[in-house]
Amino acid sequence: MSKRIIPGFHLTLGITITMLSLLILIPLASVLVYSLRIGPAQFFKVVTDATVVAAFGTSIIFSFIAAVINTVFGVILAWVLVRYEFPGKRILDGLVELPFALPTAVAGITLSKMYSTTGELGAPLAKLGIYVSYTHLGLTVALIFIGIPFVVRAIQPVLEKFNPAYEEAAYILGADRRVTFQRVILPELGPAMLTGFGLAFARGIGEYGSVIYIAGNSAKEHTQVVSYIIMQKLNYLDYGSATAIALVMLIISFLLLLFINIVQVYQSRRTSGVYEVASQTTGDALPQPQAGRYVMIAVSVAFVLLMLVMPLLSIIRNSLSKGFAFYLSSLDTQYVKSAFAVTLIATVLTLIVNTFFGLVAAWVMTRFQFKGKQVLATLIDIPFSISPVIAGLSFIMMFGRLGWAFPILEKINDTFGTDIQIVFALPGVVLATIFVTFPFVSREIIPVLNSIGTDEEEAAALMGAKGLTIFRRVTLPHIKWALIYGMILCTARALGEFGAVNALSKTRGVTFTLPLEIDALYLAGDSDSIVAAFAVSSILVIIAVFVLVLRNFFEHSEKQKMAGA
Amino acid sequence: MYVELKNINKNFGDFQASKDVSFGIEKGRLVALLGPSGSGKTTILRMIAGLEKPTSGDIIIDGRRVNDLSPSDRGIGFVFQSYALFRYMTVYDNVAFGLEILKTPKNQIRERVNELLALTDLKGLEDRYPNQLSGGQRQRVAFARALAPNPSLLLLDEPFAAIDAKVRQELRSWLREMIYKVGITSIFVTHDQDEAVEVADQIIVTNKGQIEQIGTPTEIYKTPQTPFVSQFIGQGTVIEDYYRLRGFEKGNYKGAIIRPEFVEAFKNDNDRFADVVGISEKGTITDILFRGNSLEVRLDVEGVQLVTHRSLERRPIEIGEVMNVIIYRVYAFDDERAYLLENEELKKKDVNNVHLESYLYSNEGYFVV
Ligand SMILES: Nc1ncnc2c1ncn2[C@@H]1O[C@H](COP(=O)(O)OP(=O)(O)O)[C@@H](O)[C@H]1O
Ligand SMILES: [Mg+2]
Repeated sequence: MSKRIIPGFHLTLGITITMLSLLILIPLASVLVYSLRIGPAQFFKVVTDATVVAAFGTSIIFSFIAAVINTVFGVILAWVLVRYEFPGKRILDGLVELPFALPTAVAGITLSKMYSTTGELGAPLAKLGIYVSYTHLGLTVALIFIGIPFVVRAIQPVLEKFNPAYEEAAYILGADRRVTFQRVILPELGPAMLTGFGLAFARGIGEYGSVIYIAGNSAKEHTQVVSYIIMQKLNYLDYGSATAIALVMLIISFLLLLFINIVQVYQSRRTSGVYEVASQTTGDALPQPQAGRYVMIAVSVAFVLLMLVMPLLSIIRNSLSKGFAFYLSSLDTQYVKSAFAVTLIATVLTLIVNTFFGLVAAWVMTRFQFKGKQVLATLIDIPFSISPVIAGLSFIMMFGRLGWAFPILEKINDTFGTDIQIVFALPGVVLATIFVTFPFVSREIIPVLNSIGTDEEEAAALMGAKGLTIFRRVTLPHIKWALIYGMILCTARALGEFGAVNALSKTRGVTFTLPLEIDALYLAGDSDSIVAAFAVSSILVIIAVFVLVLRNFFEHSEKQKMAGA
Repeated sequence: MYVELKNINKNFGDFQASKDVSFGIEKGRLVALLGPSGSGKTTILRMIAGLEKPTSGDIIIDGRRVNDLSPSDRGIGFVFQSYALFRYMTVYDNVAFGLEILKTPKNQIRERVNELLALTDLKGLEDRYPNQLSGGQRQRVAFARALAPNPSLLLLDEPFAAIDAKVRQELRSWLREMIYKVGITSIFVTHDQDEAVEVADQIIVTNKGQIEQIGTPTEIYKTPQTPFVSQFIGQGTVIEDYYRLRGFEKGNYKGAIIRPEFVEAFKNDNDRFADVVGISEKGTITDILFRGNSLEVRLDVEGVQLVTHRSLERRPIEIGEVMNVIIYRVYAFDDERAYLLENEELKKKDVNNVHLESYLYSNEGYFVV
């Protein structure tokens, strides 16, 4: 390998691997180690238990169904967003991202309420004999909600770069719209569809916050999902079973990640070298049946209204259902204030750590070639595809009473006379939040850094600029918007993290975050508490909408900059 | 006329990409649409193909008005600028695609595809995917795919743009031969005059959405009719006060184009030019640039900056050296047209070009010059 011109390889690689190991891999390995400790016989007994098998069945089957539905609507939505111009298109584009920005617990209670027999949609449906909340149908609806952006965002860029000449070539050779779609467009979209499907599927299998309220969690009805079972075992302090089930889940996630990676390798085998940028729009003489176009737009708008906008409005309506005074008073409690403070601390710390990691990791992943890069990329992405509950479990198995690091922690406390607590204390909440949002910033920066190439940095390095100067003066201006967007997304997710924190935080008013407070209020069950839950949720909704607007703004200004260049 | 465009206009919103375009092409011709980037060449080609609808005007192919026919009913083959080979299909499937759409029986498809692959020298590559091919091979696949359904008109958009400069030369003659072998009427788009001159037997020059001139390569080269063509073709320089040069009078023109090959610069003692020394004028060499197979010499003649080429076989020259300079001719132009002006004194002297010209178009300077 030639000498690297761009500085910082060893340093950034070192930091990346160290942070990845400390924050993700070692905690995850703790789960593995503990689950192996219980012995094969016990392990086998746990994972073949009827309830557990049923939960795996439920999670897999309904995640699969939801992912299939999302793939169909994802293609339609992506197509409409890329190919058609119509008023409100940018709003539609922004709304697709809502499930990324909305806390899962908020989505969960909202969908559950909306589809209950007294809810906005549940009531009319119940009259027709269709029950959604606490059934498999409800579970599927929640999984569709959280999965849709994965598919749309996987397909959209491919479609944007899709050269219209392919369609025209087929059309000149006599192919009609159907044949062109089947034989020319679909193969091009195939890998992106599979990637989106895989991501939505993986996310669905591990999903916790958005499904537990609506799924019913009944062993008899087979509406328990795997994350719920793990959480239940944790609550019974049955760590052996929890880790055994988590291990199986990890293996499934890993296989799915592997599948996605293979798909992407296959895709680059066919497309590398014949990559081309769409240079023009399709000709006006190509048949574009107006009717088909309106149907597509209508379907997309209806889907987004029903699946994404209705829940949003429902939150606002519910939160104000007892008047504005009640709304304000329910925000003004000791619990909410404490939760707000905890959430804020966790979010700020997470943002600092993950932004630092994101920049360093993006630098090493895009500026250097080295052995094992692909493996490293996959490892960094792990938090995307595993259940947040497992993230929480990991820290319990590391720092908890049974964890291997617990004696070390005790020793430190003994020696220094300190009282550092991690599990069920603020540090645990912070660590869990960092874990689940770990790749958010790097994921936004990496594609931008890849697309701008290394020429400018090499030029600066040859002129003698030092690493930090190069980064500040040459690189940073290019990635500014991507960085800001990654940070915003990271903030939104950190504010809303539920599953992981839920496993690690037990004391309301002390270590509860806003989503946990919402959970506590909602589960209290009386009508005042439920309205209060929605009131607290509405704060997170406002933040989510704010995030969407910012995203839209940044993306737009980015596109304008590109168009000007 | 096999293909005819009558008063074609094409608007994209407010922008007019084709302005009153009319031309005809005879059967069997190989025609180039030549013009700078953005001059509307592709738009014309795409309208003939049926990928764009003209805003007004008629397109006639083989006696039929095809404005309302879909591309697949026009009997055309189209080679896209970047080829647009289907990336997820093998070479074989790419070529077979059009035939499958026509519901041709399997064995006939096989026969036709094999025939085309043999013709385009792609035998043995049937199972490759587009990204496993070189640029030239991709071009040939695109060519074979377009020809598969037996079109009677072949349209090619910048067929050499995606190919390395080195192999481009080779492919030009390959494509020319191939098109004549198949015997298909063809129109190709290019912005490269060398390419047009070398490949086409007729050139249509476009500029700002309009047709500037139609003619054989020689006609276009030797008798440019518009100011644009006289500047676009060749490497001419525009000179306003051309009338300060010996042998030219001031006329009702805005300026003139002088190509390097119109300028002769020779040393005082050059026998070959002995009888025209008297009508030459002095020019000082201001710069000499090495152009690989020749020198580009810049001269100052009476304050007019001229450019000429000089064979490397001729005697060495140096900056500051004073040469004798004769300008054979210029293209003068007004707003509308270009006019050929011959050097009057040269004409009177009746040496008119005969030997100068034969000198000019020979390999230049034998040995003593
Ligand atoms: N679909 C389109 N919409 C708007 N403008 C177009 C479109 N296609 C071409 N143009 C414009 O028409 C002009 C001529 O384009 P084109 O025919 O592609 O030129 P050429 O092939 O000679 O480079 C350009 O200015 C281009 O921007
Ligand atoms: Mg063009």
